[in-house]
Amino acid sequence: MMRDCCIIAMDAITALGAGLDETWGRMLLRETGIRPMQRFPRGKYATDVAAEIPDDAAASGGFDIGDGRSRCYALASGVAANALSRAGVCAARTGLVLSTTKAEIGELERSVAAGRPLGRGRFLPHRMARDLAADLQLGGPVAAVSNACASGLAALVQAARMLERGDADAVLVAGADVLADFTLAGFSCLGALSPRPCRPYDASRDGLSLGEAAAAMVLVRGDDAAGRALAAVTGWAITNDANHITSPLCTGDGLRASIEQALRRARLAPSEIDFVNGHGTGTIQNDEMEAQALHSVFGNRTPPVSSFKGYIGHTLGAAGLVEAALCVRAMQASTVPASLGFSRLGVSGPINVAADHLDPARVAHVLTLKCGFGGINAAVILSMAGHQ
Amino acid sequence: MSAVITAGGYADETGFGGSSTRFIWKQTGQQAVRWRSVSDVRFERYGRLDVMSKHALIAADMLGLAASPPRSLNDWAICAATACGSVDVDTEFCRSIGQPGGASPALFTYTLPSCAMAEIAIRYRITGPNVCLLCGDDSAFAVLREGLGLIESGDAAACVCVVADGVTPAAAECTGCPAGKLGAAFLLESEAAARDNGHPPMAALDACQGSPAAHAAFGPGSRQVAKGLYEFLHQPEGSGPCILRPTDSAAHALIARRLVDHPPEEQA
Repeated sequence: MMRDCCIIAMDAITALGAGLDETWGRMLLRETGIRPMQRFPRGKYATDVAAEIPDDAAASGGFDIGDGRSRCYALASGVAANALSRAGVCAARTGLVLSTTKAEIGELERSVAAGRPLGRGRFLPHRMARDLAADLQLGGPVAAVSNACASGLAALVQAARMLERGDADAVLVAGADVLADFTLAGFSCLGALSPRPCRPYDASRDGLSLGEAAAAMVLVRGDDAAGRALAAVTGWAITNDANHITSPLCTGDGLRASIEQALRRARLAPSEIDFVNGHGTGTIQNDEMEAQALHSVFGNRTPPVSSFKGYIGHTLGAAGLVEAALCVRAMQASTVPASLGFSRLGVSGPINVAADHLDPARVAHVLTLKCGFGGINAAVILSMAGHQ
Repeated sequence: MSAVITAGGYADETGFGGSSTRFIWKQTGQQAVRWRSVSDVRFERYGRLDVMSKHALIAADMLGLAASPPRSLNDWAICAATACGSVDVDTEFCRSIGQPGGASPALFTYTLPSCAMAEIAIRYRITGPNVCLLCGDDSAFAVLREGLGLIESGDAAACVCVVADGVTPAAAECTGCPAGKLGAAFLLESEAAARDNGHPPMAALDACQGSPAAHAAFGPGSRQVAKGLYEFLHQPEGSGPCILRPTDSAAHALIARRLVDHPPEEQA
């Protein structure tokens, strides 16, 4: 059985910049991409702030968001093409897994608003995945994954399974979701949005901030990485709370099971995890549940915990991938970024939230977590190349 | 190593059937399948579910898990797949934005296709691996292949594989997905799990792979594949001891070998 798979190329665009270098650099400056929205009218939703990608930043990064097929497609195809060209893999034996919650939902919004027929079905995730694969001339299997806000990590797991089964020699994993009336209205009516930039794990947290992003990674089997590995995907698990359609299980038992299974697969003890990239949305329920799960696995000595949502917002279907890519940067830089927006612990589990950037001797193993509606819990362990 | 299929359930506009303890198939004569036609167990939230989730749940209920629960559900997986996802709910939610009552939180929840999978997890307390795939016409192949892979890799002892869709004519027109309602569920288990759970194997699933030629063999859309397998399990007349639908000279679409000669008797 395949021991693990490796990430050999990646790219992302977030509200903090086009490319991982720019996003990472601004995170180190403690900048937030959560700002007043430009594309949506003030006062229409429960918040006026979100992590919106500035059009000029996208355009200067080479993303064709103006005249292209759609904003979501332009961002996804841009990062996918960049990652693919850096990987230098054989396209004919490369598969694609797309992670998104609502894909090109703007097409549906416009059709409904105008009372027109529903368009060409481009809002269907699998349609977008197949078009991406065709544009990139990929010859391997194609799938779209929709596991709510855990979709990105679920797609990463799906790619690992494709490689394990021998379905492809390389897999391009792409994730994208953009701000839309659909999601803004949806999270508004759920009462989940904070009027201010989110503050994960903080005592004053009062909801999440939406964001938009796209990220892509190319994965190959460990044996095929041959010195190209940026990091290895060494452990993973996806579990279900089987409890409630929207609320997480408050004990954190589902997420705990996920973390423990991922550790077993990676053959790591909890003490070997150097950094936990939490889901950390900034909602009361999620952060509390996460703290319970982390406390039950790590006890009173949790590794540093940081949520990236305070920098780039909750990017839904892209979140798992873009944050995993940033975890790889954290390993490369041996830096644990501060959990932006956090100042005073507001969860009952005594977890070690990073209020400031930390520079430990090494960040060799990172646990990244994502949870979603429907009780989905995903845990993935990324290990520095050579440490798996 | 293959997995064994120990139960199958199916629901569409014409009715529903399964292999829990008895084989049931009847015309409902109703516009929509009602939960009380399916189960005596109350399910108050059923009316709030979207069409896709309703059909997925009915098909899953036909697997008989409630009547014959396994010893442990921690290593049980759910794989769901859909061709068209939640387009109908998406459209309805879009219409609700800006309406006097405001956008509906209940609708918004079901704009996630994975909710069908979550409803099954909640109802049967299945806590293991779970994934929702959107694969168009390949959905039935994809979900069976995924379930088989999870069992072969040892990541799960059993997997509830579900294909579900609820496609209105308007959605069908723009997506190319066949219009209609579909829920199909198959219970895949390792031979050891089936033995431990007391679930007699109906068939062995040796391989599954989607391709255009495979669809040509089954007919268009995931519905034909799901229905083909369901009928193979329950209606042996006219079909041989195995399904082998070749896709090309080297590959195959779906290989299932029947392990029982006589499925449970039909219930009047």
